[in-house]
Amino acid sequence: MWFSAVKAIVKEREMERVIKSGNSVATSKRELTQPSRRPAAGQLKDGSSWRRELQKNWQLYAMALPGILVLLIFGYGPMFGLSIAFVDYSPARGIMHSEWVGLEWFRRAFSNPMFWTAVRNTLTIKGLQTLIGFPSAIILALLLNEVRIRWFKKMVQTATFLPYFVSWVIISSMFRNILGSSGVVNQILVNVFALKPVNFLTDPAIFRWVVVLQDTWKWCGYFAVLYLAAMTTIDPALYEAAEIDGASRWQQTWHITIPSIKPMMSTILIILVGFLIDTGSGGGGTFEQIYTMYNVSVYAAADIISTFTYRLGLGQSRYSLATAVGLFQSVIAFGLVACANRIMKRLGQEGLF
Amino acid sequence: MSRSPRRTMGKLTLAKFAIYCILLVVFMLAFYPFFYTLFMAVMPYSEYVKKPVHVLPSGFTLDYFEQVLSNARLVRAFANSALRTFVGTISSIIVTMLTGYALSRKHLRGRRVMNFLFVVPMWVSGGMIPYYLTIRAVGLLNSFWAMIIPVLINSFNMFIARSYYADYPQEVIEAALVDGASQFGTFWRIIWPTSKPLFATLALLIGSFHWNDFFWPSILVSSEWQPAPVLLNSIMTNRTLLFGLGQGARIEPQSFISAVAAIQIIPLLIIYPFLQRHLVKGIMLGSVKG
Amino acid sequence: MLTRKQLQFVFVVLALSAMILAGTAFAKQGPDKVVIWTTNPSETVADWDKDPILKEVEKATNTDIEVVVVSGTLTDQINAAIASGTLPDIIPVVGPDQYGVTRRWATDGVLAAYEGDVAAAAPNVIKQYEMNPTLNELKIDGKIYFQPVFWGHGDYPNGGLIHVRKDLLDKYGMTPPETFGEYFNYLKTCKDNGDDMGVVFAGSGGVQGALSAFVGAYGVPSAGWVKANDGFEYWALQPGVKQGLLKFREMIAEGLVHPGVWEMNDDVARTAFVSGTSCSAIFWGGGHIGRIQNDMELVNPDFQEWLLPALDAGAGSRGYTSEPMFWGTGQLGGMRHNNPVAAARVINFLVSEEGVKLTAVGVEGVHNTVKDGEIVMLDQRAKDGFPTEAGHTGAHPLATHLVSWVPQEWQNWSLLYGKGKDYRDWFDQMWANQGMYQMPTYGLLTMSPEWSYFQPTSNELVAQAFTAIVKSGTEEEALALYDQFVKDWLASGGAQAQAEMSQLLMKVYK
Repeated sequence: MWFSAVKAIVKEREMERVIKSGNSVATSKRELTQPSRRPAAGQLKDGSSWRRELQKNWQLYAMALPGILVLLIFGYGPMFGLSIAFVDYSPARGIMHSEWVGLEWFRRAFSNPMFWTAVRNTLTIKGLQTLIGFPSAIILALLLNEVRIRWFKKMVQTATFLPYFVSWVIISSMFRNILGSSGVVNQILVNVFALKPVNFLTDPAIFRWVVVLQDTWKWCGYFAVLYLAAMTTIDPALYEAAEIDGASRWQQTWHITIPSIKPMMSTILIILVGFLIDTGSGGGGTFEQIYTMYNVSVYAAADIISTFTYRLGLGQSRYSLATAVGLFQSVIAFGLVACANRIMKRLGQEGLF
Repeated sequence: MSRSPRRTMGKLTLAKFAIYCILLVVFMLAFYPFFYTLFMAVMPYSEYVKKPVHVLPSGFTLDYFEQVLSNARLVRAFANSALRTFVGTISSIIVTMLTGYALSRKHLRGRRVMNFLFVVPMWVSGGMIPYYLTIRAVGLLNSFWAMIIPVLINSFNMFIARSYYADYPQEVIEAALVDGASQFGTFWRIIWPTSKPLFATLALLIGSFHWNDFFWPSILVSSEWQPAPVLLNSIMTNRTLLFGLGQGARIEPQSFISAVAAIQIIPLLIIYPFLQRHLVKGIMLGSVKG
Repeated sequence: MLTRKQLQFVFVVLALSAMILAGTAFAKQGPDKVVIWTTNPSETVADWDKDPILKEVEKATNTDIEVVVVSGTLTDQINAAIASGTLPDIIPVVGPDQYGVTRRWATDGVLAAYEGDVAAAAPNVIKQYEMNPTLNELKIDGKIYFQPVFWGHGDYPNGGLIHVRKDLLDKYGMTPPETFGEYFNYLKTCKDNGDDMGVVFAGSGGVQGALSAFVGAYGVPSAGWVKANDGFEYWALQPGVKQGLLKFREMIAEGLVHPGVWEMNDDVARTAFVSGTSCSAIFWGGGHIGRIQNDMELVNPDFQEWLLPALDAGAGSRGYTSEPMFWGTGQLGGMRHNNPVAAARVINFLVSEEGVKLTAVGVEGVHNTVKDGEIVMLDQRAKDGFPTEAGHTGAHPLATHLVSWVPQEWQNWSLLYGKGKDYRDWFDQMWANQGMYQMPTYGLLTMSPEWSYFQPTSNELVAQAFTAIVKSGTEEEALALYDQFVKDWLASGGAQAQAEMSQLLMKVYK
């Protein structure tokens, strides 16, 4: 769901730049039609204009209020709970009266070998998912872009987009049937090719790839639609000109199509980097994916930070420990996004902020 | 002109053939799991054990659907899912649209601050336990509304709505305001009736979220209100429900679970083609400049 | 002498006290409100308010009981209830893997101890502690907080038991295996004859649940603590465990284990055995033995379940780990709004002979009737929430999972109800096989502060390492993995926990 927003953010930013530079026809037109509604910058500084603003636009503020309230309570409210990470939280005593232990929970987490396994697994799995998922969506979009038979394009697009709408619970129940020890793939391997069955779900090394490819399966179609959307904005005249210059189809793709979807690529990449540290139920659903698929046999390769946190945190009532790990995760995730953002800007691409 | 059109055509045809082949394979890979689940749900287990390999279905039975639908708890769970999806989607769309519209007004003071407020939670979260404690603190724990209120708005959907309204022909809005219409009146009479593509986009995104969400409901919601995915997951990972069903009836777990999954998928398969056009349009609306 | 005024004063005081006494006595006659939580999502009791068994309990204990069905993770729900001050009076069974959590509740003062009025109201709970000395490990600072959800007194093997099929043994002309060699041979024969996909067990949670006989053959229990080196050490670190794991690995390496076993939970594993896909299962015992047999008969009347006594590996030892015969504990809410005395009365009744019989067979004349000294079940029983088949235990949901498991004798009673002599003899034999060789363990219920912190980590380390060890390609690899496990376990907090536990246990078992 979050990737739709990417486009929105990119576009919003561009809009603002356009407005700032003031050379957009639309903007200047707007200013012409509503001179009285855009108070001068100086006027906005003093308090009385705030009151006037409220009087004038109270309905707009009222419209935004429910959304803002929900955001503050459920988006920011939990952040106050982060203090749990620094106390020995006991439900009976409450956060305020629980014993202050400083960084004890962080020390405990860092001295736990399973924590570092989880960190390693998170980076490996999310890294591989990005490495494979990111380009495969671009390739799918490019291939679909070449298709001129409309029903065929629609059929493929529909089928690849469909997994995006299906929950991980369903997906994992489907894949258990297909990849399980007596699933259809093993049926074929054993009975048709007379091979040994492959333990897709219980062999750590194989399971890791199952998780990676499954993720690509779920998201590929969705990304592809984003890229396709970006491609529709390319001026056909560019292709025509290239055609006249004798550029091959491949050259056209390389020199026109790909450069024009670069902003989209950089934005998506930044977001994906942010999700390298999977932040619980937010990070592209990797938690739900693994939570519904894994078992003890594959912990060594598939236990990620959020599943580790879940088992020890909610599973064993170790709230403080789990919160400490969660905090660590958020900090790293934000740091990664900031870094990626910087690098993209250095490379002359769009950043997010 | 170094190339004749004919040669270009021939070359393209060959390349295209490869592209079509690849895409056909992609199509099958993408769709086969759905197909397999659906046919497992209607294939008699006796057929299943008869042959060692099942790539295509054989036989037909609705027994497993009957088993699923004769279980009061599962039926209730599907009803919960439907109710939750309906209530949650409608209310969330309204809140998202209103907020998105308000924050898209360029002249609104404090707009940047409010926008920034929506950006931060995309990466920073309090984590599971504080979230849980927050839900409890506001008294939503174990209630139906724990699945609705906290997810009324999310940053991503808000940004989609905001940019949709930022694209809206501003002259129309300004004209209405100059004519003396109130902000809300403008929204209700002018914006709302023309928000269909946005509505469809949000409906599909939010609706599928509500229909599929299982992790938090399994923790936050009392058993009577739990939606179907929660139960499906507990059927798959625990033995709770199978045990309960085992009393008196013989069931085949694989077929039974497939039937439950099929009931989850079928509504999506039905609704999706109708909304897909709008969805793609909506995503493009969010992406195409100015 | 008293003046008239003084007399008047004394009279008024006396009258007032009498009135107060009478008032309280009168108030006491109204039933006490008791809130019970249950995690049992049983649909068999549609409406708890109208449940006749619950009504009987209320009548016998002068209480007004409200049953609340909770879902989700029980300990989280309880923690939430503690934080928000809505703790129930009776907290349902919390499993042994959560003893650290329950202990915390007790030390935080939100549970009621069985002392004073509470103890006086629950003599049957106190009696359990006297009958079973192992339970003393559950005490905190000498106080009783936890009511064991029991099916018997004392210790007995329960998990990791090896089931085979007697009809197959007969078919191959074999006698029930006594050694691992014979057992593996049986598995091989099954496989060669196409009767088998390999032995099954619930492997999705790891191998440790299936190790009982394997490590028992080398003198180690598969849980808890063992006496070693002038103190107590954790079972998983014992040299015998290494041997047992190698034996288990041998079984896998020879292809005698069902390939899908690592995806299986209890239910799937059981189904594979019952339906004849597998000729052997490592599974629970007790009532399960009979229920497996009953279900097998539905699949094929020829199938015959057989439980093997713990196997011999020629190492001079054999035995299934014998554990206290209860699973988890029930506890009383001790917060300000709770009524632990009334709650204790309810518990006391439910674990009394009368209460146990009530939840096992219902009310005489309604759910059962006595004919020639034998209890005969009536149809009404099924209508009032008792399972139609033996199901879990055959008892009313109020007993199962809530405050007491069903005592083995009543489980057996409902299992053997209406069965012939052959079946009864067979069942007695199986029950005897189960306990023929036992491996004692200590400290399963003891919790030191460090151990209560480390236990979850320990469980995970054991589950991961042992599963990897038995699946490893070569014996050398297995041995290296085991040594690494011991190192990891000690380094990540195990050493401190073990030292603390050893001290504690030395005090209990001098």
